[in-house]
Amino acid sequence: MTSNNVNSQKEASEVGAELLASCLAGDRRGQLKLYESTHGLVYRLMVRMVGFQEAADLTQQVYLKLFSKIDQFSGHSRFETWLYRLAMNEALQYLRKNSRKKTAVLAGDPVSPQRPEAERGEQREILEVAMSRIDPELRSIFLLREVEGMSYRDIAEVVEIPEGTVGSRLNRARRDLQNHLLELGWRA
Amino acid sequence: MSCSEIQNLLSAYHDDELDSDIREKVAKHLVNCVSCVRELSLFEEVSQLAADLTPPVPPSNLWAELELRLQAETSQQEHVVSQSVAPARLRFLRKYSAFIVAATLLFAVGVGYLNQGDNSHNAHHHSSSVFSQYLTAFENDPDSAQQILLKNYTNDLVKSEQAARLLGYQPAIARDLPADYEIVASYVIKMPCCTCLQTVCRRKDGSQIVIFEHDDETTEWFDGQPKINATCGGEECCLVNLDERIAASWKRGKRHITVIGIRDITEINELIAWSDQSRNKI
Repeated sequence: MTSNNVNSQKEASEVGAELLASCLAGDRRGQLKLYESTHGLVYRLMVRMVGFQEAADLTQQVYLKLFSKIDQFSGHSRFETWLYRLAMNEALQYLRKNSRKKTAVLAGDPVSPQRPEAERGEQREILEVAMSRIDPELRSIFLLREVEGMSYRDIAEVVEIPEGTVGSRLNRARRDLQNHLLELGWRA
Repeated sequence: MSCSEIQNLLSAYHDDELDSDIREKVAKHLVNCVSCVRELSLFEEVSQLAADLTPPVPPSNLWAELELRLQAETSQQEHVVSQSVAPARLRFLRKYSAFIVAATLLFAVGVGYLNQGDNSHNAHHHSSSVFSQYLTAFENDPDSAQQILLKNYTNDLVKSEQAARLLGYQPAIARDLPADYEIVASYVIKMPCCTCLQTVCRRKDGSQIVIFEHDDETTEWFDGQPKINATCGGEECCLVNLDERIAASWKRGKRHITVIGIRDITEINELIAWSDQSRNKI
């Protein structure tokens, strides 16, 4: 029932027990190795959740938490799933605290709705803008599915909702996105 | 199944997350339902768009900044441990940290007060270039590094009473010196941004740190270096990672103190406590 049939940007990183043990011991080289193999996914998630301006700081926050809480990783799930959960919680917590702030547009200038003939690059930009306009909880699920290529089971584990709820949230996320895309001049 | 039921399952169908029997029912419905097919094709278009997204590239100094924060946290933990298990050590620390509020480090990445604008682009570029050379050389050969500064800027080798006269104020370093350091030399240096007092100090083990006291913020000095803002010893502080060492800058009254060659957060806290004590003596 689970399959990943999307173009995933997910790194092929499998974090081994040895590396985790060295991070647990506070070994800086181990921490660097873990960071190097995983920071791309955390950073891109942050950019799309909170915008470029805050992404670097929040990425660092995630790793500070990760290294201080690594003894709490039970090993029942994949390490990356646990890391996604830490990252997503950090992003959502930030957005709740700063609920007046809108996620900054992720690329370039505002998109003109008068340009429905937008080319492919502009279409991507329109999607970035539309994503920044939908509810953060829906955005998180959309990103985990469409950008990270996660299965519903893994998404459910990351955002801590029942697996059966993932599909209905994705329906809402996709419909909200479509509405914003159309407002922005997207032509399907 | 009705359109409404099908549309509830549409994402799961699109993502191939349905059991085969339900999937078949949805597929059967789609053969004859234009509106559901239309909705599904929009999902597919959005997925295609998302698949084309370019992943953002993390900034190259991200780890350097994170490492500073990790180092700061480790130092804090050691400080707490030392307080709980070693009363003698605690007394020693209190000697230096009477004014240190627990070094709660609240970081904000990037644009610190070292990183604000400058009036002259050329002077800015020159200063940041000279300072970059200075910092690079400092790690291995502080004496050579010093020559880079002296060669590039007008300077006077001074004693403390001369410094006050040239600067027009009584510098912190003139009143006393942090414990465990001795003065090697003091210079009044005229930089494009400001005229500052630079004091080269030696630790008991022979290694050097350099203390700058200056009117303006250090603006361009640390351009291109990984830096973070933090609260150290109760002061808003800008920390710059220099491979094996740290540079730190904080405001002291109307002026700023910048120290190059610090070993760790504990030493920063001690220096901030010193600058506070020195200020209280004014």
